[in-house]
Amino acid sequence: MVQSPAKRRFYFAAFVLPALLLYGLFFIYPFGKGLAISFTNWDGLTPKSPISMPKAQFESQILDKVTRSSDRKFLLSIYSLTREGDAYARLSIRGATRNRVERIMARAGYQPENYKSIGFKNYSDIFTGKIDARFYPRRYTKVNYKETSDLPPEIAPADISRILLPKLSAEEKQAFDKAYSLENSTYKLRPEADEFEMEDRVWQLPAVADGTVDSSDVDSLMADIGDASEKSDSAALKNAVDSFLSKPGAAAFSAGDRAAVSAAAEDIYSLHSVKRILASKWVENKFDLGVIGFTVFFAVLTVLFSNLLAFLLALALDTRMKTRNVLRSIFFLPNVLSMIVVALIWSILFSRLLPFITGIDLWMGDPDKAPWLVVLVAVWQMAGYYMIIYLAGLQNVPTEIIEAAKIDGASSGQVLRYITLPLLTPAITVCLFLSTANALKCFDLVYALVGPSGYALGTVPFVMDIYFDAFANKLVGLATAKATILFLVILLVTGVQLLIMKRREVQA
Amino acid sequence: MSPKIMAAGERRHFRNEWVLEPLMILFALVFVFPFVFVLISAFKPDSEIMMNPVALPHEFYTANFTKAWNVMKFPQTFMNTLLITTGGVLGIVLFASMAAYMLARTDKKYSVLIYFLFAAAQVIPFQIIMVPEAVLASDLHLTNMWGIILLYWGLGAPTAVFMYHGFVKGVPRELEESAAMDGAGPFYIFFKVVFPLLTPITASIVILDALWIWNDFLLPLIIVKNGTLQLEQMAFHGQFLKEYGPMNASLVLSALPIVIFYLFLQKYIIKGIAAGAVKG
Repeated sequence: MVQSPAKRRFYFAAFVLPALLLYGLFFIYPFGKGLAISFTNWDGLTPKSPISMPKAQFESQILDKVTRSSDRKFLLSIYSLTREGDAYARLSIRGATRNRVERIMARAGYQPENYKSIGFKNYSDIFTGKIDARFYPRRYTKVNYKETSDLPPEIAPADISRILLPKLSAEEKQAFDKAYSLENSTYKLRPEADEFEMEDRVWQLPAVADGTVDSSDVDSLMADIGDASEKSDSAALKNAVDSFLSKPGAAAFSAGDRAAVSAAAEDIYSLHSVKRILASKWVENKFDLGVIGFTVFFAVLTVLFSNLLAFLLALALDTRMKTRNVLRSIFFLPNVLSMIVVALIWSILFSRLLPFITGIDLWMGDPDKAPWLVVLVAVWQMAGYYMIIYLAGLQNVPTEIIEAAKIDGASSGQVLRYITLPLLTPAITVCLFLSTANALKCFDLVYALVGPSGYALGTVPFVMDIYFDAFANKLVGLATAKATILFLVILLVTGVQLLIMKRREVQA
Repeated sequence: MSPKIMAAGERRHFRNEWVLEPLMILFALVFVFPFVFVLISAFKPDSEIMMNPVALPHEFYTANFTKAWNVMKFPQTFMNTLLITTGGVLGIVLFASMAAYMLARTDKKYSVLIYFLFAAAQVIPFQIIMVPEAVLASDLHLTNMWGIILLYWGLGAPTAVFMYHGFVKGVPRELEESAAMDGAGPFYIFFKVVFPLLTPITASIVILDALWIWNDFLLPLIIVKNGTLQLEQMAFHGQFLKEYGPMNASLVLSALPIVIFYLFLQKYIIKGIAAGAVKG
């Protein structure tokens, strides 16, 4: 095309600039800004230029340090003294005005407490373990019962036999059996093991009910029993009962009443000790993958399983089956749906259908199962996509080569290993690249499946942790630093992958 | 060697299709079961779902749908999503194809540089840019259904430019040159001569980007907060967590448009995605 250079430049700009400007404004600029934010401690709310500031502080920290008089004038056109005269305040500012105000403030060396430059601190905090412990893989102790709450009405036997029983002494076991009975394969709290009713056995005695025995004496008896069981001191229990029975009004007790008081006291004592046993011994040492661990777990397993499933499906559909087009459409279907819809469909299955079929109530709510279920849903959604790519790759493997190999006596397995797989390398490269990037960036699916409860379930991927830091925890600086690290990780992992796979590609 | 596409009657890895096919059909049934379950449950009142989640509905119960339709403000939500998807895709296709065409046809250093600038974006996770993007959008008053379209143009441009660029390089220049001889200007040449030749890759980009924008959640969540299908679906889930009947109905409603779109265009969608993945 013969054109003058000026004209060529004009057309180049006319064609390229719209896309470039949009890309620059909505992608590159926020990217740069994000990188910059990762070196601050911004909370996402604090503006760089304060909305209001005490007069003395504003004058000493900002106005006095503004050297140019034009800047000073500009600043004072934005900020004005409040009616009380003790502070400077501004209205909301946008765009160029805000930029100029922020520039002037930065030049004056002013940084708000929650939006100041902290260098590499976010990054070093992440690498030295100074941020939320849930970010890292860790061991922790899970306490199943707190002493201050009521005894649980039911305990699953698996828990008890695995965690609690091995740790109990014979005496403690006896106390436990007094409170719980094994019925229909669950430990049920015995109906008589009710502290309120036990205490009532004392309160209902005629001498107590009619006021012959002072009610404050009963209260102190109960307190003493509590203290005795706290120290697991049975002598103290006996003393408490004896001292109660020697109180002035206690002469009114019959022998049966006296026996009832000490029986009730012993029962209460034993119930307290069951609470103490449960609180101290019904604990588990657990391992939590943390954000990092789950991200790796999720990425490795989804990449592995979705590619494996996709490849097998593609192999099976690369035949002369009559139903292959229908089957292909079915396996691809989850992929056109949004991750939100897919996740919610599965969460209904997990909460309604599976408990009904299997009798096991907890699926997504169980930290032992949740990570695997998240992987299952992700594989279910993504496999169809990679299947299409593998299928396209398989259909490009020339049939003559396969037939020639078969004539030479190669088995199906050998054909797969020595002909199909090498020729399929480009498709494998693409699928590995896409599935790794997708797995590391997967947000919607996990967000809709578990939401914030993911932290308790150990199913928070990196991107979701970043989202919560940025929008819920007000740690925007830290969140963007994490995102930058994620960016580098994706770059590294996919880069290495591409490098390795490109070397293996062969031509048919 | 030119690859030969498989013809009917010859196949390679499995020979026993009569065993394989029933197995695959069985697996496909298991695979679609979640859909079937949600679809059936959508026609059952909550009490029936609680009693027996697997039984077929006793009657044709549509109250779930009425509720989901009204709460999600379905017509409005649907139109919003359609608007941003259409607007987003049109802009991406227009701007990216123009830019990619000019970049591919200009043999200059700066042209290559700009191309790499576009290509580099593909590994940047959205999480880095999300907070500044939200601030920017609110500064520019773009936190509405029209504004978010502009954001999609910017965010969708790099991948589309990358895909178009690869395709344009394979389109011979002769046609353009003869059109230029006849006195056609660059705009005329691009829109009348080149753009029609790009149809295969345009189809891929339209399908990929339409699915992306229609199904997108995070960007609408931080920019417009409510009003798109995915956002309303999530909000509905938050509000009616334990009302399984309406939940199922809302899922059927949200999935329906895209499933219909898929059923009619599946051949193109699958082809477009395979082509797009290999090119991209």
